[in-house]
Amino acid sequence: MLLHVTKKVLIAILTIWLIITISFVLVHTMPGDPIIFLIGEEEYYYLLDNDPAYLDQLIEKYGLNDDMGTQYARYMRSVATLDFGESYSNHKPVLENFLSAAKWTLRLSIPTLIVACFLGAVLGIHAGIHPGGRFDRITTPIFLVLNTIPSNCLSLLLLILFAYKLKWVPINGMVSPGVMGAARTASILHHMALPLFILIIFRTSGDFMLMKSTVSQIRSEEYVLTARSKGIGRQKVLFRHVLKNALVPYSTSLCMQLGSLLSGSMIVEVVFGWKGMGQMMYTAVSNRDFATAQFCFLLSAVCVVLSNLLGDIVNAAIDPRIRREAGADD
Amino acid sequence: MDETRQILLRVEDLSVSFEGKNFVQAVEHVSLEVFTGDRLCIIGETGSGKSILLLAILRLLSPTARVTGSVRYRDQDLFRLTEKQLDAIRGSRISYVPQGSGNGMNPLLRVGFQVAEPLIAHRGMKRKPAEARAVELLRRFHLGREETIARQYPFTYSGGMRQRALIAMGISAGAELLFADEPTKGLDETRVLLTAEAFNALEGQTLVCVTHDLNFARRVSSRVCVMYAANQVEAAPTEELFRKPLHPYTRDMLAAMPENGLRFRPGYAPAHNDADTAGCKYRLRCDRCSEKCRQTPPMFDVGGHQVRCWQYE
Repeated sequence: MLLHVTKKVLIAILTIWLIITISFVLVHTMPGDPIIFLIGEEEYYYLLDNDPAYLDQLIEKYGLNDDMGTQYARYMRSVATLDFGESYSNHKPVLENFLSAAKWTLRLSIPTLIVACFLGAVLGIHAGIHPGGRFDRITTPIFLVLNTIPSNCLSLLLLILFAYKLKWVPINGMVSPGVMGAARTASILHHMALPLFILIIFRTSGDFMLMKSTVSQIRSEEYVLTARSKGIGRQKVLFRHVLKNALVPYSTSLCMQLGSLLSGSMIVEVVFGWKGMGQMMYTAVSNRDFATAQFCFLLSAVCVVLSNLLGDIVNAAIDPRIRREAGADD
Repeated sequence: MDETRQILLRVEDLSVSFEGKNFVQAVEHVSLEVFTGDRLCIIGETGSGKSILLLAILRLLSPTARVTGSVRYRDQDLFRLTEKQLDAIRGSRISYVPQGSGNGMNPLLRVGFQVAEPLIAHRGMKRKPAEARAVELLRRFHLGREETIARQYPFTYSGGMRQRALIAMGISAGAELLFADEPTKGLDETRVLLTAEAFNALEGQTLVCVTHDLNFARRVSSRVCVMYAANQVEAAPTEELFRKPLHPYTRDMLAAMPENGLRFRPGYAPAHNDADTAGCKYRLRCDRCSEKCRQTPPMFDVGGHQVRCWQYE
């Protein structure tokens, strides 16, 4: 098992290195001067016309006159020291912007993950154990619709209903200005109620569909019949024989969701004016803030690699067939 | 008939159908009695309803199955018991051995534990001693390196090994009635002989075994029940049935055995939802078919040999 984990970790490190390198190569092989990507197109042409000396200084500062090897070494060093440069939009270090946005994203994504993972599993198991039953007939179409409706449509519809018509929640924002202490916490909770509700609905519907289809498929497996024929009781059959097997695809999905904890939900954040990672990524791309956008994409890629790694390790811990395939049988 | 033997299981007029768009009549009006110490083999071609019959008796079919008739195990009507009461019987007093060629064992649990599970559930044993007992049971079926392989997972086993482990699981809690669904499927001739030996060595256990292997049926059974297209067509003591089969289907089936010259009668069993084949299901293939065969024949008793054919009216 240790060998399997080590192998997977090494592959993940290699993949992350490749992603970082490719992002460097892309910038330096794309048509146009790399300084355009670093300071933005508008700034570049402004400086080119008005202050070419400062532009040269910037080129010198970013070391763009150095040979590729030197530039690559410097780039790797800055990635290793988490120095991703300054944001073109507010001239603050990208890392500082990230820490501020991540805090707000995590406020939405952590409760979403916990509640949706639990709700989706419980409801999915219940529907999957009695496929075609009353509960399944009611819940499946509801979650199917929720799972397929675009999130911006649902967000806008609920925003109109709860914020505009009923005025139960604010239209957008994260906290009312000028409030402190417990009132501030209450204000944040008030503001996050609707986006959180929408994110939970989406995530739960996905988790529900996955768990339901997995459980209903596994319950008709021959080994479940064998388990039932042993008279070991409904609960033991469910937990020991059905859920243990259902855990393999479900844990994979959960690990993937963990990977998107930081990247946030761009659409919901933009609709609700929630200044999290999704919003940060959206703004960076719209404003051609290259340093921030590059950081966001690197972060997303690293999160995907790490969540894959976690998924691989968890699956190997649950499923001996995966350990055997990886040559790490116990 | 030995007067001291008691009826252990009485199946009366059992029918199983799967309702819905693709209606299937899987078992039709089957009645049989199993006495203590019996070795009953149910034979017949694939799709004749043998396995469904076993699962229906144990109430292990999916909720889409419509089961009618009655099943009495000793003094209990199995169809009237609650799920909990039935769990106290399954694995403890009636055990079931599924087909080993399929996916009959949980891929994520060690074989030793799965063999030991009925002991833990019904005999109050702790996990460790139950698993030690599982190793002994596996040894009875000559799996080799039993202590090591008991700690392994089913996917590391060959089909034959899995089948033998499943039989060990079936007999682990010492249930008095053992249902086995094609226990020799996928086994080579030597393993078939060893399985027959193991079944014959069962003490105080009654066996109801579904099989395609006619030689295996002859080796292990004292009585044979023949099924064709969801119907029970013949039931007789084993030697009598093999010596003097009465039903045309049984005769044709025995004639198709390699040692009898592989004489195969062309044609197929009617589809389970074929309404045109009312009456005897074998009449479309039978060379002695008469007009009367359009009506379903009852079971006739010919000197203790039961046969569902108008010839014996």
